[in-house]
Amino acid sequence: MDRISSLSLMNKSEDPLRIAIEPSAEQYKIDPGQTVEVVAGEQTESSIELVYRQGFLSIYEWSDDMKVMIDGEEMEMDFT
Amino acid sequence: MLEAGDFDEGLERERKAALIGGAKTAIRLEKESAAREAAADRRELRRDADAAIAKLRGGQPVAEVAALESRAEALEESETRAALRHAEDDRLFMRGFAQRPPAAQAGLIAAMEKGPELKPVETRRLAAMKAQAAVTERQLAKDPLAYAQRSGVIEEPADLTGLSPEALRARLRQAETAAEQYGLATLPLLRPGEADKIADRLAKGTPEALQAKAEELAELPAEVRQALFDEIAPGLPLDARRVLRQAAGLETEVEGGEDPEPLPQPRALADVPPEQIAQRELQAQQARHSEINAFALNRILHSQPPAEVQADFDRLQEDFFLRTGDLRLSYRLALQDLDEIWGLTGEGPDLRIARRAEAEGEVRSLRALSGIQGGFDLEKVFDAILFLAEISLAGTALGGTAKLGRAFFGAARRGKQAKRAKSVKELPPTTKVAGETAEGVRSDRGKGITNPEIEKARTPSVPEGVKRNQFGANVIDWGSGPEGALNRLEFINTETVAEMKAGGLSKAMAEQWRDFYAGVFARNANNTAARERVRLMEKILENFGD
Repeated sequence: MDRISSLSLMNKSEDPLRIAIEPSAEQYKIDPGQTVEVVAGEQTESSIELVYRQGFLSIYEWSDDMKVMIDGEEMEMDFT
Repeated sequence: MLEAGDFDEGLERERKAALIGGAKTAIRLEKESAAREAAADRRELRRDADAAIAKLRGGQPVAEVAALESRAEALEESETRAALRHAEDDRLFMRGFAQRPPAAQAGLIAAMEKGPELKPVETRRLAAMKAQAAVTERQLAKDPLAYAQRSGVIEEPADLTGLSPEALRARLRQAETAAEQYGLATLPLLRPGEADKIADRLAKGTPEALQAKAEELAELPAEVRQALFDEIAPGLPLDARRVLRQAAGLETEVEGGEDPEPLPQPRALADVPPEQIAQRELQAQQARHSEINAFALNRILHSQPPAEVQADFDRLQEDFFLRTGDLRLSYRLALQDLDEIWGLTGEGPDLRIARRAEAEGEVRSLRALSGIQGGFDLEKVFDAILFLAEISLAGTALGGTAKLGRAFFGAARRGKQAKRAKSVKELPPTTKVAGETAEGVRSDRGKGITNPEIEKARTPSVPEGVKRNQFGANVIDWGSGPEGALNRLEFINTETVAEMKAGGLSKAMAEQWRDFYAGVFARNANNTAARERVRLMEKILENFGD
């Protein structure tokens, strides 16, 4: 089975979508109209595990080295 | 030869026999009559139940299921079950069932479960009822108004977009109707997420519009205004809260113009003095025979920070709180500025980079003094210092007199000129960060402050046969963000931990996950979800037993 190397998600709703990269609990907010792309590194599993609850999508790491890009810009978690 | 007496005796016997026969007949007839009456009663009861079912099919589910319930109490169990079975494949029945209060649903389920072994058709019905009861319980807890709408108890919840008094009154009536239907005292006025949306809309409007809206709401009953305010206030900037409270007639002026609103305290620190939190951590560490961490924590407990650093922190924290109305955020921003004010940027913008060197030196000397030999894990010591330092600093700001967790500032005391940090100047005048960042979601700023020098921790193992998402969402159930972990923390006890054990969690695994999140937090101190998960795993371990 081919490895899944990236996951692209568009927020077409009217509300912000919150995503968390698990299990490290890094969180990001995807505003309406924004697209988030989660890119996996080399050590990649063939399946992605997700949990959705109340406007919050948790993406469980399927790669040791994942990058999160919002509208093409690489992001780091930042609560401040 | 027969004698006259014999004849009389014969007559007497016949008379007696006739009397006995008559009595027996009378008894038999009486029994038959009673049986007929009983059967008639039972037929009547059954007719009532059948009529209820018939009406149920006619589209009056709520009243008729209720009627069935009342009759079911009088019917024998087997007949109740027969009546319930009678409704097989009838969607209306399930619709009616869904609208019943949880207690009534449980009663009907209990009626089905009693008696002899269920037939397949009854088993399916019972399974459907149990599934619906679970949905009812879950949905009522999550979004009761939405559930009430779906099950036909109320129409679509009134649209509160414009926050008009009419819509609020309509919503209030709907909440009352649903509460009555489900046997609840009250239901929240707002649906999940609505408070944030309303607060956001109010915050984005002009002060004049906010004032006008608040005055408009003043015509609502006081309890409605108060309930509404309580729900939307956390998402509003401080000044907007004041306007809303005053104009809506919820506030009395306080002498001296002080903020009448109590400071929102972080939940984990709200009820427990910081000394107690730190002491508990210390005891937990000692209980695990981790002399290194205990040693480091003990050092923190008996240290004092320089007054200048504390004064700077207090000033910055107050400043940020006034700007954002968010206590947690104000701590973080104040800590961030403190890094620059005290000139600890020689090795990077992250204060911890400088702290590490300081901590290393102190720990080395302490190790020499204490004579601890071998197995000295400097990383753990440092993490413990950092973790407790933040707790204590927050506690200091809350209480003003905390005497713990300040040692690292001693090393940081450079006597450099205090300067206002860049982040203070750049903080936008709006309060957009409030509310968003309080939830632990990244702001519009790009890069975070992940410390690249701290290696990313390896993900601990999960129980065999359990997927990672199942582990997080079902076994530990740490929820989303810091609030999710804090909420779960309240429910951790020996019973919930026993469930986790049944799910495959071992003590070693729990310790690995605790250490993992301590590492994640050390790598990025803004990841408060990781910090709360450290606490969560600690509590799980405390309740783990042998």
